[in-house]
Amino acid sequence: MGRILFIEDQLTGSIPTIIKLFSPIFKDERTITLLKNIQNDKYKTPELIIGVCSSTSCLDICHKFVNALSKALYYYNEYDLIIIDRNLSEVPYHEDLQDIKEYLQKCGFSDVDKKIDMYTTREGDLILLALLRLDRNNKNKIYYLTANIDELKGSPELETLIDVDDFYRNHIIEKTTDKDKVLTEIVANLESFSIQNRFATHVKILRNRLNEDEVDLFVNMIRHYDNDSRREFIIYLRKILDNLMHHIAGKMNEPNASYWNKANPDQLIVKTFIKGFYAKDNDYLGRFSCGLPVFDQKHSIGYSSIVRNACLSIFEICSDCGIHDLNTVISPEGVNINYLTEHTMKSMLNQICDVILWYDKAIVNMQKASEITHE
Amino acid sequence: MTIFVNNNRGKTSKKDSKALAFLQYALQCKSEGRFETMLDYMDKAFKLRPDSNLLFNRAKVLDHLKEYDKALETINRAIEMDTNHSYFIFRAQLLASLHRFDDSLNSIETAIAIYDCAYYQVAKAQMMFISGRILDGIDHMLWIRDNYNHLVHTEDINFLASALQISNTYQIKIPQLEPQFNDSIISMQEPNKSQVLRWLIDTDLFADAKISINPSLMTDILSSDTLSNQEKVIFLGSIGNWAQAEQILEQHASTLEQEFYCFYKACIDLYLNKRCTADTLVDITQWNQEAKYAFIIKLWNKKHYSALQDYFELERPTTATAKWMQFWIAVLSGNLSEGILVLKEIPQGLEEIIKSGRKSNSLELEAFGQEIDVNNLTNNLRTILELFPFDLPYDMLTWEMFIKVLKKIFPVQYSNLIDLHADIVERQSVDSPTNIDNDKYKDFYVQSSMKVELINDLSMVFISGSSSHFAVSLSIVIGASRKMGDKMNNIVESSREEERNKVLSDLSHNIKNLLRSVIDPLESIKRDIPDKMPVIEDAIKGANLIREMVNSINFSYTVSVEDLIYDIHNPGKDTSCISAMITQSLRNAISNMYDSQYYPQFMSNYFKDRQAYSDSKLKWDFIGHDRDGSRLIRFAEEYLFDLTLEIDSGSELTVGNEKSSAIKLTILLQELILNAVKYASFVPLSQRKLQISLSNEPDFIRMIVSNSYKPEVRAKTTGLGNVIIKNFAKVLDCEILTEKAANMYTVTLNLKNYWSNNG
Repeated sequence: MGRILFIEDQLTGSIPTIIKLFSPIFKDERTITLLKNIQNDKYKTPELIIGVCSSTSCLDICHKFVNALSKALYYYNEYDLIIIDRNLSEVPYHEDLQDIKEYLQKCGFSDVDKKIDMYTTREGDLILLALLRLDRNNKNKIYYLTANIDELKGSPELETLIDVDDFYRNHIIEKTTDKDKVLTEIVANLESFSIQNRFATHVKILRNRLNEDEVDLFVNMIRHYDNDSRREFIIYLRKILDNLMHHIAGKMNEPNASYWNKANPDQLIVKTFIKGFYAKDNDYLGRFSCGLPVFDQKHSIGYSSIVRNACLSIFEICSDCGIHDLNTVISPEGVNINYLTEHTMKSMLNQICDVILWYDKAIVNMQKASEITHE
Repeated sequence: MTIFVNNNRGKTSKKDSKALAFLQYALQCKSEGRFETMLDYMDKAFKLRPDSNLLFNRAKVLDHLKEYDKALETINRAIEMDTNHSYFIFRAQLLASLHRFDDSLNSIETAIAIYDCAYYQVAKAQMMFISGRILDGIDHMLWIRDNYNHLVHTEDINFLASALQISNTYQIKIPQLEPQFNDSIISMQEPNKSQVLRWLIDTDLFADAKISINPSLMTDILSSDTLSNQEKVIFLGSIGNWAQAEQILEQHASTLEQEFYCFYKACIDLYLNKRCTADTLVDITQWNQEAKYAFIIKLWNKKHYSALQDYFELERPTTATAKWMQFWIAVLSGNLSEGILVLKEIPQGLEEIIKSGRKSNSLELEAFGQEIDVNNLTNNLRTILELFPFDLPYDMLTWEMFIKVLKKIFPVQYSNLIDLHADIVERQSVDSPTNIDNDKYKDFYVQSSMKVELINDLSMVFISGSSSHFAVSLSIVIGASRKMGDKMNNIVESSREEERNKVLSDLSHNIKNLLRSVIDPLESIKRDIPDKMPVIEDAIKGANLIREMVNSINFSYTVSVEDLIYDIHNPGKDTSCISAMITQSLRNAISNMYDSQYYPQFMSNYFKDRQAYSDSKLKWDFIGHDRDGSRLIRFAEEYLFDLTLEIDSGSELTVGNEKSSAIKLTILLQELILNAVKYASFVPLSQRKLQISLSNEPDFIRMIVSNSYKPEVRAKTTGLGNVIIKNFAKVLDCEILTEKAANMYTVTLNLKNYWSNNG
């Protein structure tokens, strides 16, 4: 289960929002009931709300600027989603200034006195800048809340971050019922969100080159890997490999090639396609008769022996586990995982990641080759 | 001018004696002002005893007679005899008088090569400025600053005075200059000291170089027996110490010249009391021209336009300077037709003004001749800046008048050029788009931008024109551009502000209507689903809060003095007094402190735990609606803050509500008091104070809200309260003053007493 850091200073006024956003990760109804009780209580304090929400280990809430800054600084790696409210001045922090300065200095900020002064009523900007300074990839998991999105126009720092692709404009959310829906959905699918951020590059490739179904396959594959569901992992792994190979084979536009099943022309003979086969069994010159190796020799699509061996390795291991034909229904129970060690699993994961990266470059190269041919 | 008689040869020959006798005759002629004869005697003396120093003196006489070519020839002969550095410096002065600036600079360089002293270095910088090499001059002054400790004879008063003046003009701070200037004069011996001081006072250097006089030098000057009381008054005036000038003036009134006394008395009145009485204006008409000029310039600089206007009625302006003043005063008072008549009478160009400018007081003039046009750059600029400050109302002139003013200022040969450019600008402006939609401001904006455009077009022509007009052009170009630029920005801002206010006002009205459609259903749901009552109540409270805020904004834009006066004089049934409004506002503010939903921080500041909250809330529910002020004070002291309420005088001040004045005033008071209650919460209970006082004075109703606060705390705010308060203050013409003491924050509201006849 992923973890969330929620930074919001006006907690007593945000109970309905907390319920709406985080219900999917509260373990039981009791948390929600308790939150509703606090809502009905005349004497509600931020501490009461934080106490109730702490029953789930998935959600950390900070309502003080100094605490938020320290959590962000030391534990950002532990969170899959960080939601930051822009204005954190509800709880005065004049007594915490020394700590705040130290934290900011640790993040590499200079002239911190001036910075703190400058960022009054937009303290969230400072936390955001600190997090991006610590790790540029944090941009994927940060969502930024503001009461008035127009005010951001007066923030050149944020505009610059967005301009240089260090932050996303669509990660800045106005606090209104319709616009914060995106957060509700992310929290409901936190695991998927977290995986997509962990494998941001691979997911981006699959999303851009293929479709959302392919992204779902990949996310599910990783989820099974994380949960050590080896049977399911191996099924998804093979599916992804097959889909990538089908897609690339289609792009190669060789309908009569021998790697297509003669009986069913839409079906790719994956092994032939990957391996290429030698023209003769003992062709010492190493000339391939078909498939990716031949295409690579003609068009240089980067099909190195590493990628070829990775593809073959995945194909053969899946085959050894009992996955031969994806046209027939495969039940996880039928998959033999006796020989799959933790290391093999890791190796499979790394190999498919390599194949995805190669696949992206191969498509680019093929497009270039096609443009040259047309010219 | 001094003639030096060299007599260093112990024994004097016959020839020497004769030569000496001729020199004595020459001196005699000098004292009688017979310079031609003096030169003859000097020539005879030279024939008998050739001496470079004698040639040096001869050159000085010729310089005095403005015969620069002959003087140059003479000093060249002196240099042939003796390569003395002071001859080269004098030669540089003569060359500058002949506008041979490069040669002049070379001569200074030669002097420096022979004798590298601080004064010659600053003379080099001066020459660079004079010859128009401003950047080189600045560079050289920076070099002087960086090498100050290696310069020779920095204690030389000529160096110090020149360097101070330049460094002040060009804003080049040389830290050693001022202390050394002070020390150098203090350490001088009499009579030299008095001579130097007199020279500095006469040349107004203390004022021009803006020197800080250290206390020892001040004592030295004021206790000097050799300086007259008149000189002391001039000195004090030049450094702006008018209080002490007044003391000396009054102390020695009987011994001072009457005209001097009157002039300085009027100056002191102007600077210390910021006034110029009708009697003074009558007096001025009796003064000499120089004093008149000096004083009206002071009146002009201090912007005493009405006094000047009165003076011009007593004595018609005759000088160009006075006429220009009369013109601008007419423009400022909106009397453009009179302005046009005055403008016609003003002589073309500014030559007369520059000539009438105060006497040269700059050392560079002393050093480099008084008749050099470019030499007068600083002086011209000063004179012109005095008459044409940057903030003249160029924006109030019509386009046609603006063109006339430009044509009047610059020499007549520029007239066609100005017309030509004006025509181009006018034609271009027809097609150029503006970013002003508001018709009220559009024409004004277009005209302002045309003026700026014209000035921009002409600026290079003016500035690169004759050297005497460089300063004028610079002043007018900068002044007009700045003024018009400001005006254009103001127009844009005013237009936008009006637009924004309208949008805000319309929007708040719409929101108010929309909120009704939210609150009404919520009320009925509350009745239908009693289980959800607390949640729905919170929602209703939130919606009501928004409605109050929107109401406040709306009212702050719609309030008017006329409505207030109407409701004061027609109280009707629905009337309240100011004291009741204050206590009600205080009650509302305290109630808000129990609201953990919308004021959680303040609630937790006031009530550290649930027990404290519950105890206090129980009592508050009991006395919250109580009209007894003393119980409110006791409650506040026990749970919230030390409360002082001195508002009894407000019970007589009643306001009706027919035009919503009672509600509007309550909103204003509520904003002020809520702020105080909120910010006091950050202070520990034992030190928390809130004081509200109201005084009913003949002209004003003064309300003071004072609360303890922690200066370092910045609580979250939308800033809306301030907007509302400022809007009210603006429309009701009431003054709001804030004062931050160490632990107390005080807001004073001065509202005109519309209840009294005075109001």
